[in-house]
Amino acid sequence: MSEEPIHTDDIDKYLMGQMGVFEQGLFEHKLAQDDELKLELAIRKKAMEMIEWQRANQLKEYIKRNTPHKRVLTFWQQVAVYSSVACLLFFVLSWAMLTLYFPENNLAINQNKTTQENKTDITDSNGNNGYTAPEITNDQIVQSPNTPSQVQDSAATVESMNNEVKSDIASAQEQDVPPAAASYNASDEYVIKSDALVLDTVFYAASFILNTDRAIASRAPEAESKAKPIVKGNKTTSVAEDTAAIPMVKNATLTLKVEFWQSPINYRGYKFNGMRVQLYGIQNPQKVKFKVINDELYMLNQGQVFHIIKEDRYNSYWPETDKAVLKMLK
Amino acid sequence: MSEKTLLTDQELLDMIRHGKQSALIRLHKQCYDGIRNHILRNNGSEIDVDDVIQDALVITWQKAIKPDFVLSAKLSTYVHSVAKFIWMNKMRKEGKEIMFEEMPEGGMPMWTERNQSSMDMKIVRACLDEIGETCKTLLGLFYFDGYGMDKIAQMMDLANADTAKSKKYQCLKKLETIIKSRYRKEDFI
Repeated sequence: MSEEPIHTDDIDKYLMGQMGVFEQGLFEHKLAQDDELKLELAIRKKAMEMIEWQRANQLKEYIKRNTPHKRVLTFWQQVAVYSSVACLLFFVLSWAMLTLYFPENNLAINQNKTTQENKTDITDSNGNNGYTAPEITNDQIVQSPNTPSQVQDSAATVESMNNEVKSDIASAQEQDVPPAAASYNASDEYVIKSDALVLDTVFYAASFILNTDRAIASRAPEAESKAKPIVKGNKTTSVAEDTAAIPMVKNATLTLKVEFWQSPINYRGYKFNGMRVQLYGIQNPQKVKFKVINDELYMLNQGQVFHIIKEDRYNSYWPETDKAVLKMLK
Repeated sequence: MSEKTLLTDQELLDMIRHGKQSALIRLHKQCYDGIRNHILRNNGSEIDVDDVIQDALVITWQKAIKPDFVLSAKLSTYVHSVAKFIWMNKMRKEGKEIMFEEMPEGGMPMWTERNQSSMDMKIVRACLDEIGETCKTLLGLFYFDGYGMDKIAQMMDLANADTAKSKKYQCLKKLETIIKSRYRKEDFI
């Protein structure tokens, strides 16, 4: 049996808006006259608020527990994420741009060019089929090594390259084709026009020596300028002129290996190294003659005399101007 | 019923009316993105989104559980409208301009506005802890959810509606006694 007083239900109905208009008016009339009821209503209202708040919180907790946790990034976390993405994009784009502008093909072409040039020289040096092959020196390969270990490494590199060159030459000889030609494949996309050997021949140059020690001063052109004039009576002459009066003695006959080259850039010059002379830009090889005076080589070509200096580099043809030398040679 | 099955609005309403809280989770999934976009577009944060959507779902629950509730649009649209209204109220209180939204059907329930401002939460928690879990649940089902005594007796495994009514009266009196002891008479009048 319920112990609930009758007005308890009325309070609930009034607060929950479940009363009719007449019933509500009657209740409010009673409420206005009864302070006890008024207090009871206020307390019930407070209790209802608490209950509703508690139930609403219970439902919210349930929703919170059962819905997936959404990750919320703070401002700085978002900045970090976006910055990382931007950096990544920058690097990817940079790499893509570099790949577009500097493709590996270009590098390969450069390497190919270098290899072919080296091979051309290498085959020449062997003397077969008119190709030269200068030895690769440390200076050509090593850029100022700083430590002994670097020097050793560089030397080893040079050694291995030389071995490689020698093996190339050997294989080319076996196949009976010029190594340089062998290095050009039909599939090569780029053809590098190189120097062409026109004639490879042997010259016998008569070597003369002046029968005086003073004549040594006339060897090098620079020595001429440094030489002191010799006074004979009232006449002042240079050492070179003076030697003209001195008879020459045939010393020996020199054997020279002479190569006539044509350069695609019409280079005119020479290189005299060992007993080999490479001449560039000589149009008529048949008219060339060589003579050696006091160990200095001179080339006579179409009425002109050129001093061929023995150096491990290319030089331009420089006409000899020393009248004494010219007189002796002509 | 599989979690992935898409329920109709009527099925969701039936779940709510039978006190199945999982209906709220399904509604949350349906409405979250729309409400989130609205709040973030109107000066809100992610934390605001969670608060507002929870309030909107609880209000929807309280409204939809009543037998006389008639759905004139989709249930998710209703939740969305409630959320917009809650957000507009909050912005208005903070003095920020926002486009006016009309509260769908019947205005805001009491608990959303007044309780948090007028009640001392420590006292409320203390009072509710004293009456115990059974009383809290019973009073909640009656005053918040609006269930009748028959349904409450059924849900709480009580013998019958009279037992439920008697239990409710006892719990209520207990709570009122605690409230009287915590507050002064002047606090009510």
